[in-house]
Amino acid sequence: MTYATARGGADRRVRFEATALPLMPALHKTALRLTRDPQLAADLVQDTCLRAYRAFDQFTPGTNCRAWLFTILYSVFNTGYRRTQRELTGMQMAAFEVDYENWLGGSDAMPVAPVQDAAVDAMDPRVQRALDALPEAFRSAVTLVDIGELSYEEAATVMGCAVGTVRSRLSRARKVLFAALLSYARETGYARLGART
Amino acid sequence: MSTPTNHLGELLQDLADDRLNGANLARARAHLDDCGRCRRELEALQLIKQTLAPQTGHDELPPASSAALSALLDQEDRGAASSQWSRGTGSRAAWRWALAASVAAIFATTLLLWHNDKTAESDPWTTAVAQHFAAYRGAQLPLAMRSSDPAELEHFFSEHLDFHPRVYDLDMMGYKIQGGEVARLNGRSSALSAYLGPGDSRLLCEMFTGRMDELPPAPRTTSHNGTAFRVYRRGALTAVYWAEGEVICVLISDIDSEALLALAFAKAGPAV
Repeated sequence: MTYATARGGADRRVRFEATALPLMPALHKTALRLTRDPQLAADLVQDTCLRAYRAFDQFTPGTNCRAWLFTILYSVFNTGYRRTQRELTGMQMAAFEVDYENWLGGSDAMPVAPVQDAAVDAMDPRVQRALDALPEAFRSAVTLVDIGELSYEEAATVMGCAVGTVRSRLSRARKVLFAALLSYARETGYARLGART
Repeated sequence: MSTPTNHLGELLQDLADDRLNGANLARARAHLDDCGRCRRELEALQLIKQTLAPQTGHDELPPASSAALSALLDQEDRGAASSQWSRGTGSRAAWRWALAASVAAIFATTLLLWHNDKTAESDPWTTAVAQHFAAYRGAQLPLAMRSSDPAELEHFFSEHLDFHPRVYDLDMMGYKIQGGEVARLNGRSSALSAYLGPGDSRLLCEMFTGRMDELPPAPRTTSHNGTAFRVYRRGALTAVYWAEGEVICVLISDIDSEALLALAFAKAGPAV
């Protein structure tokens, strides 16, 4: 780890505040989504900010600071904040995808989007559980693109993979999550009638 | 003309994500006019995106968070100013300092992560192991010995430690050794082995000389094949301890607790 004290901490502070701090609201939105708790979200952003500040000398000016910060945020979240949950196996993933394909080719109605708690910007707990259960590679893609609102290219940078891999993982993950919504809709009759086209 | 076997496929996802333009966009729109299945799939994609997307109204940090961030950076600047360290005293010394700096940095972060966890004060062992794990997870733990060979790592440890720790081969369980390090654990030298497992899961094993009765009371104890295990939790992390003679072994990870315990059961016991 590099400490920049000898090279002018004040300058580093100015550069950090100009480059990284404007992106903190975006991190906070995602943190709120990930943790479902305003205090935990604030803690997560602070931890991310602190780690980013300490490593800021390793950030190359002109490169994508947003992707760099999200890499740190996601790492911190997975290390100390994410609720540990058993991940879906390949066969379970495949079963969800089959369920999705069957729905697509069938006549069942479209499920209604779950009501969300606007106060903490929390997603429906059933969707959250399905998201938490996704294998890491797939959860990363959804978290970065659909929750973090990163582009495919930015997500590929964070994940260290090709853009096509992001697309493919995103596609499979969304099918699984949609199938989880379907399951919920079937349990509760929570579906929009007449949606079949 | 669309047919049931000629759907938009990946183009549909690109359309939902606003990644299409020009001819591809026109082609997708034209297809949607004729294809109910693709319209249905587009609606499904939009629904799941809507469900996952953060809601509007959080485009600014709460004032308290802004102030806290500013105070945090001030604190960090003050701390960094008082912790300048000398350089250029040889690569090995520099490397030692780098390890110390990494662990110190992770220590501060870990305190924030677990600031409500009162057990940290009474269990310095798990706190230290958890700091090492956080550093490993954050790619900030330097491994002096990069090797996937347990025997090679054991040789490395034997050259740097006055006891002879085992290095577990967890390959059959899906965990590959990444390397090792002689770390410091509550004032003692520790043989640290780092593993990478399925789905980018991480696992650390540390061994150090000591007795189990030096550890604080565990929230969970169990035994297997005559070996006693102590299980501790730190946030999302689980640490499992057991003794092998005068050496204490600990596995720590954020994987499922039972899966970690199963790994410990599988590896604990006399070397064969």
